[in-house]
Order: sequence, then C-alpha cells, then structure tokens
Amino acid sequence: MHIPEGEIRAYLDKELNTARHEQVKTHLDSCPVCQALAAELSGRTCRVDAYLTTLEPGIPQAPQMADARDRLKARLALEDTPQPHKIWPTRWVKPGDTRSGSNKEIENMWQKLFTRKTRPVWALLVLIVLLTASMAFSPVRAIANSFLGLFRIQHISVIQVSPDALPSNLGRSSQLEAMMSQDVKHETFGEVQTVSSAEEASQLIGMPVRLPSDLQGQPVLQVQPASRVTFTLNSERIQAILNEIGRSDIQLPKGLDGTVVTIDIPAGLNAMYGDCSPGQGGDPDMPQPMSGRNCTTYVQIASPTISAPPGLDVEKIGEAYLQILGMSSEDASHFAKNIDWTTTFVVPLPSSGVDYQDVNVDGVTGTIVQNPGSGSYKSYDMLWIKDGVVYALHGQGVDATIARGLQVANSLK
Amino acid sequence: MTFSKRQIKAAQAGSETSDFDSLFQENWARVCALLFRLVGDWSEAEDLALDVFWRVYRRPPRSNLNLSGWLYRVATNLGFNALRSRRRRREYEEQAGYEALEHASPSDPAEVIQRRQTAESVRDTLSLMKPRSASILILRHSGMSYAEIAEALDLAPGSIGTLLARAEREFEANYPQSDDR
Repeated sequence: MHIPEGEIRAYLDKELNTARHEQVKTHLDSCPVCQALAAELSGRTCRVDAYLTTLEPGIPQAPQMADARDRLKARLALEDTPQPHKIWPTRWVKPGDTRSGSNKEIENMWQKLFTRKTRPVWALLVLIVLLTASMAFSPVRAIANSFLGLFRIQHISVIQVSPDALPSNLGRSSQLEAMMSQDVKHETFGEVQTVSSAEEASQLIGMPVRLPSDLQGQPVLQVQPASRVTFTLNSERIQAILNEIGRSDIQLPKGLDGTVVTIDIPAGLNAMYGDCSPGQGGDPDMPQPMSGRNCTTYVQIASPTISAPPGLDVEKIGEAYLQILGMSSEDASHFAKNIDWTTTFVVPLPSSGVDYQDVNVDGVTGTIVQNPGSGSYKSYDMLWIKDGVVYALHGQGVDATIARGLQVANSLK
Repeated sequence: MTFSKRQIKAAQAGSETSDFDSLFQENWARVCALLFRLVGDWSEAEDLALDVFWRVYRRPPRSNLNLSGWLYRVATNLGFNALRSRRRRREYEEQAGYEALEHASPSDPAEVIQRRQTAESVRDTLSLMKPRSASILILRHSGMSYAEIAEALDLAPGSIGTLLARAEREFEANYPQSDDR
C-alpha cells in the first residue's frame, strides 16, 4: 500500500503529527515508488517556490501600522457620526429592504419634493459610480471595472485619461467613504435568477433576448434584477472630498445641496459561454470577475433612466467630473459645452496600456477595448447601444481579439 | 487566536482595548505582505489591507467562525480581485519597476527587469488558476501552516497536502515557460 500524494506532501512540509510522520518516513525508506513520488513533489515545490519568491518585495518596506490604524479608526468613526443633512425621514427604507412596505411612502415623499422629470443625466451617473467604485479601487481600476458593470447608456464618447493626472488619494478619501455609506442608497428588486431558456429570460427582462449564434455550447443564462441607486447630494461633503483630494479649485454648481438623483437600472440578461468560472466569491460588495480561461460574457439590458430635479446644471457637473479626471479647467469647459450630457456616457480610459477604437457593430457604432494580455492570452470589452438597448460583450482567452469580438457581436439573432 | 462575532460586536460597542485591536496588530504586517505578493505595490497593498480590516470589522463572519481565518479569506478575495485587474496592476508594476531601478545598484538593472517580468508572469499564472488553488499557493508561500490555510479557505486540514500538490501542478501547467523545462 502506497502513501497518498497529499500525505507525502504534508510529510515533506512537516505537517503530519509525530506518529504519522514516523510511519511515513519508515515507509519511504523501503518503497521506491513513494520515494520517486516524494522526489517529484519536492522538485516541483522547489521550482514553484522559486517563481513565487519573485513576488516578494525587492525593496523591503515596513508597513505603516500606526498610520493605518489611525486611518481605519477615522473611517469607522466618521461612519458612525450622525449626519445633519438627511432629507429623508428615518422611516426611509434601508438599501435592499424592498419588502418593508415603505416604497409607497417614498414615492409620495418624492412627489412632494420634486416635480419628477425623467431624463438621463449620464454625467452624474458616471460621477456616482466612479466615486462608488473608488472606495475599493483606485480610480482607473474602477473605471475599467465599471465598463461592463453598471453603465448602460445611449451614446458613448471616450476620453483618454492619464493615470498620473488622477487624484491618487481619491480611493483613500474618508469623506468619500462617508458619502457612499450615507448619501447613496442602493436597492435591488429581487435576486439573480438562472433561467433555462431565452424565452424565459425575455419574459423576465421585458424584451426579446438576442443571443450570439457564433458561440458554441449552451450558455448559462442569468437575469440580473432591476435596481435603483438614490443619491442625495450633500454639497458640504462633496466640497470636503474635493478638498481632501487637493482639488478645491473645482467649482460645483450652486444649489446642489439636498438634490436627489435616482438611477433606475432595469432587469438585464447576462449570458456566459465557455469556461466561465466565477471569481473568488464570498464578498458581495466586490465585482466578481469571471476567471475562466476561455470565457465570453454577453450582457443585454434596456438603457437605464436617471431622474433628477429640473434645472440641474448638468453641464457644470460634467465639467467638474472632467476636471476630477485630470482635464484642465479650460479643456473641461470646452469639452463640457460640446457634449450632450443628458444622453452621453463619457467613458474614461487610461491613456497607457489600453487600446480602444470605434467599430461598426450590429449596425451601429460601438466602442471596443483590447486589453493587454499575457502571451497568447487576450481579452476585450465591447459596448454598443441600439434602439434603446445596451449591449456589452466581454471575451477572454487565446482567440479573444477585436476581430473575434466583432464576429460574435455581429452574429446576434 | 480565535475571535467570535460576539467579541467583534463588543469591540464595535466601544471597548478601548478590543480584540479587534489585537487582531489588527497581530495581522496587519502579514496581511500587507500577502497582498503585496499579489499586487506588487506597497501603497496598494496597504490600501487593500485597510479595506480588509474595515470589512472584517463591519461585516464579521455570520457564525462563530475563526476570525483570523475569515480575515485571510477576505484578504485573498480582495487581493485576487485586484490581481485580476490587469491594466491597473501593470501600471503599478511599471512604476514599481522604475522605482526598483532607481534604488538598484547600477550594475544590475537587467536582473531587476528580469525579476519584474518573472513576477508579472507568476501573477498572470495565478490569475488564470482556479481561485482556490491560487489562494492555497499564495497563503502557503506567505508562511501559513496547513491549519491556518484550512481555516482561511474553509477546508478540511487533512485535504491541504493534496490540494497544495495539485495547485503546484496546476501552476506549472499554466506557467508560460513550463513547457520549455
């Protein structure tokens, strides 16, 4: 009887109890098969260790524990401080608590506060999500992540952003964290549902589902629930954030305080083809990238709407957003005047390492980003809008080129 | 050291010398080092580490799970998510590479570049592996015992040897140059 591989590995690592260690040792002394396996395991461990050693810091740097503790304490304390700028009564439904029966009250409250006028205000959406994501990530990373995540829009305009020009401490801003935890409410209306057919998905998302015919295999079809993000602007806090990131020069429109903006995101379809294993999981707040080697993800969703009070100076907000992204005030002012902020999503992409281009796809103009890969491994993100429906495609694998992405996108039936 | 949800709650209630403080002090450097291996940049590793502790404080495990195990589970989740964001990581690595070059003696820039390229390939390989396999490798290489890895990843301690051997095989199969060996 030979020793199982895992036990030999544990023996080599001195992870067996003393009695078992001795037993394995005795066996190894007399068993050439297990000796050979031990040698093979040991050799592989050495080789893999040599590679992993390259991840260790070449320049030792002691982590700043005291500073980090202070930052953590400040962050926790700030979140626990009651805020004076609450528009909503305390019976305001908690994020995600859609079964409390308070929605009607919210609607009434909303109607009293504003004459509701629905219109897309993409600049705000971008700003909100940019800031939301910045909590956990650095800004460029956040932008890249959200490319397929939340934004579903009508027109796309790409601007290139130099990572050096972004405020490096945005992700560390404690005021930003407070804003995200207290001024932004997120509600999800239901759970993610895995469905068995395109017809079922069509019923759930309220429009015919189109699927690419050029991908082999049965996709995993998931319907993402509708959701709503409500943002109550707190001008004092926004100013504090700008101060914190060293951009107190950026001017926001007057009279923002208390303005409530809601983003309604309809239910959408998510279809996964190929080897799409979910990411690490375990943390519902984090994006869960697909980690499969050859995976194509297709998203179809009706364009979200943003509701904001009439008269909101969208152009000025867009200008501030561009400045936060590193544009000079003159350029931002010029750019902001020449764009229809009510229908256009300005996609910021880092100016280094990312190759994007406008492409004709599905009969309209879309944007595709080829991500830097490793060796033969590639990935792309594609986004286009047709007839009020946002489509997104993400491919990764050895053949995930722009040409292949276009081929898949143009095969939608 | 094992912390329960009740103890975390007590800490949240304002106990000055809390168990959470102990958890922080005992694990801060190790969590930072673990995250550094994955992202290759100290300031990003520290930001992520701070987020790890914030999450553990705000959202302790639902049951009386071992808190330090939970801590490392959150850390590996955040670390691998960051690792998979290739674009961002590359920028950091380029920056780290420049910094390393600035600090290196003039005679060994080629070595620094080679090491950086290898580290990049290693991180790429980890990001392509099954998440559990990649986590086991990085935790083991961070100096954790089988028992600690089992706690962090919610696995049976007796399975770690098998999974580690499998993970190393998977690493070699995925590493770009492994065919040349």
